[in-house]
Amino acid sequence: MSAPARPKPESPGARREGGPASDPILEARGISVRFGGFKAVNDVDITVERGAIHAILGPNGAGKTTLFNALSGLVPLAGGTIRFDGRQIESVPVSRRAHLGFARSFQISNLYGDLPVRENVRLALQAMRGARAFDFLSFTARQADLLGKADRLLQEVALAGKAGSPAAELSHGEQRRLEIALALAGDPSILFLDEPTAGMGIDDIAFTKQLILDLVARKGVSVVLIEHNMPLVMDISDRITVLQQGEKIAEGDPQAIRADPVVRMAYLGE
Amino acid sequence: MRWSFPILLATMGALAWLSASSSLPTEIFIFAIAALGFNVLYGMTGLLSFGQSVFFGGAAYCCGLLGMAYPLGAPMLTLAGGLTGLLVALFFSLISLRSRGIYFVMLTLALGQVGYFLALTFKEYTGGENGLSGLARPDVTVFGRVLFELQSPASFMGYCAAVLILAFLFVEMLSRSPLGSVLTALRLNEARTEVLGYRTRWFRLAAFSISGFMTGVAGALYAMFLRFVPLNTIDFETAEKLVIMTIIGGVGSSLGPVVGAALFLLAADLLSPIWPRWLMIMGVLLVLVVMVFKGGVVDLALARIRQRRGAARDGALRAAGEDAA
Amino acid sequence: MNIYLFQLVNGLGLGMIYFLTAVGLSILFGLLNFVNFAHGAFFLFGAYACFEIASRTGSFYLSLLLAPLCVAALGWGLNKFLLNRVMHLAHSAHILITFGIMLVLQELVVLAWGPLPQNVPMPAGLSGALILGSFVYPQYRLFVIGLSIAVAVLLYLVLEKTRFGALLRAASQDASTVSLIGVNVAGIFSAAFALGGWLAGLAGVLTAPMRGVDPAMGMDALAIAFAVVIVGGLGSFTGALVGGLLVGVVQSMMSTVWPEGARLMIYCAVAAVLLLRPNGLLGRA
Repeated sequence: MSAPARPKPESPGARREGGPASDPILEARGISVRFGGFKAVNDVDITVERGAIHAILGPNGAGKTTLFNALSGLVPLAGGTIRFDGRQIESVPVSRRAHLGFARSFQISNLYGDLPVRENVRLALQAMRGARAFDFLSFTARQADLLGKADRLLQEVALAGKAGSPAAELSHGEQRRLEIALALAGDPSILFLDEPTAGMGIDDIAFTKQLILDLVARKGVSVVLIEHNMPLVMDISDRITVLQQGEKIAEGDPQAIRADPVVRMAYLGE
Repeated sequence: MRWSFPILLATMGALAWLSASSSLPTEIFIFAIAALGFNVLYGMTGLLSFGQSVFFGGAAYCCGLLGMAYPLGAPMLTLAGGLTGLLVALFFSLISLRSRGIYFVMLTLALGQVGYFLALTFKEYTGGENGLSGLARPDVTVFGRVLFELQSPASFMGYCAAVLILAFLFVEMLSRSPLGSVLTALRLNEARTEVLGYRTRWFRLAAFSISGFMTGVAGALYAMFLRFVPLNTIDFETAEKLVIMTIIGGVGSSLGPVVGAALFLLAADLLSPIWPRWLMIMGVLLVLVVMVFKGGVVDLALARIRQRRGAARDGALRAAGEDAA
Repeated sequence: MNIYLFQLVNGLGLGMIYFLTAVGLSILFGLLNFVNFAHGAFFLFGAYACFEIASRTGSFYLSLLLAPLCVAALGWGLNKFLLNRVMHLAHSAHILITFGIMLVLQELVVLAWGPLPQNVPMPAGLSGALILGSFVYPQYRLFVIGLSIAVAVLLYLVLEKTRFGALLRAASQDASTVSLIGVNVAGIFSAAFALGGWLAGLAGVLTAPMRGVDPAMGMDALAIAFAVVIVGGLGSFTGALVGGLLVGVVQSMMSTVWPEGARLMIYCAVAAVLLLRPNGLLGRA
């Protein structure tokens, strides 16, 4: 079953029904991250339009995951500002960002391996409940609403059959899908996916690609993507930013990036 | 596990029935409560604390002093112990908020030492090396009227048993509750838990508060039990005991700490007259549990039961499959 | 002589002993990523070995030579036969296992020498005091200071200038690569344990004539070692030195002002340091 080719509108904002191109959902300026004396990310600007799929490419060690970590608040910024949905969030703590509509998946599976798949998702859903998570009088097994939502999310990522298995027992591709399910739990407006299809088989990749496209089309989620799967990136991205050694070396739509000699040098010349 | 509570009752009953005097079962019940408190921090939340003695001893001293100053009934005094433990634990937790791993453990050790030297320094309140003596054991009173007298060893044992049952049921409930699930998530993967949107600091505070409260309750009971507060309640010795008991009993369930307390104190009672160096066996057991068995007594038993159930289920499925074929 | 000067020099001596006790612990963690709760037992065995050798042969200097070697052998053996198998486990497992070992070793000491404190006589020739004008100070303590400084310098040279030290530091960063170039990494780690044992054992020997020996001194030394590495930071030679001297001097000075509070102040300071700098004053994660 092949998915229909995605139409390429002139600007990402035009995808929203009937509305004018709106302001970007994420504007990061001058992002710098330092580890000791080493500048992992150096003065990177990145703007993500609403409802767009924005890919971040670059050879290994380019600082892509570090940039992700900086944007999601997991590493401290040595400099720069981040404006999300109209507000400055550089100093917003990590745990708060999930409640603002931020979500991310991890490159190295960062799941609760010993816990069943359904429990992983339930925990992600429960996090959205704020103070209600401090309840020590109810039973999690009786949280019908959370469990129902968990099951629905698992169906969306085609993991319903594995709901009871420990997360560590899933195949690599299944774990990546579980990561996505966890990221979706908070009904995010922006989704950071770190190599979502790494190590996946062809069917899994096709499924994940369709999943991402559906999310954008149905819910207007903006997606920022780190990927090494070039055909996939070229196919679904609206905009691509290329990093090398912590700096931005190119930015544009897939056609422009494909033709850019600087990018070619970065990948082939290393 | 559905059978946890009946097994608890059976164990407590056996201990009470088979012991010559009530004092050993009472001591076991008290330390079981403290061990459960330790396990909320370690088994559930993954925080290895070698400083529980400050909650235990601090509450014991507070209760001793309060009991001498005011005519409080046993339940009030028990609650006061819990609150003392809770406050000290909150303090601990605020200091240790940013500490992780080995630094956290060392911090709990340092804070434990602070508690000990405080008790030693302020002799006017604590009696220093000699401990705090002259405590009376109050009865269970409500508005000044005696409901149950606790002066006899048997009745006090019953009181401690009741408190242990409450503590056990609470921990069982906690482990199945949303709060419990978050503490478990904290233990398994703190970074992930934070990214999901949990304010992990508050959950650490919650874990400490619960642990402090329970350990403080145990401390109050201990003061009432002995009618005296020795210095070793706030010594590293007590912190060490709680760690050993809980690990050997098993950290993966609520029964583990209780069984561990029973095993430890029974060994102390039976072995120390014969062989004063019985603590050596505990050291060896500790190494074996962590290195070889990868679980305490109750953990291993539960694993064996699950294995048998799994095998039985597979066998039944296979048989059903063969019937259908 | 001035009481403060006296206490300052005391603090220096104490601080150097604390440094010797703690530096092995610090090295093991910094270089091997291993937390050793049994480290206090090295100190304990050093002190008791000194007691045993000194009472049998009458010579403190012989025990000074032999006791640390015995403890080094203990450390080496402990690693080779037991701890090497648990390196891969989580820190909490290291802590609990070595804690269990500490209990066993402590009880063995009581089994062998009884639970009561014992006296170790001051070595002949060092039992007097050095008098330089108004500066009067026990000779033995000066000996302790001098010897510890010499050992500290030697240790620094070994860590920074020798092949062994370089290998040790390299192996801590990347054991697999180091083993690829034909180096026996397990052997290096055993040597590190032996070194840590030797240093702590030496600290025990030096302490024995000053305060005697008793079974509880192991846990005590461990607590102090932790305080030192927290203040100075785990994994740092300089940190252990700075931490040791700080703790020693503070304790000594405080004991003139508020004797009972001296120990209390140390642990309060430790807690304060960890509150402000969760990885110690000079340490790394």
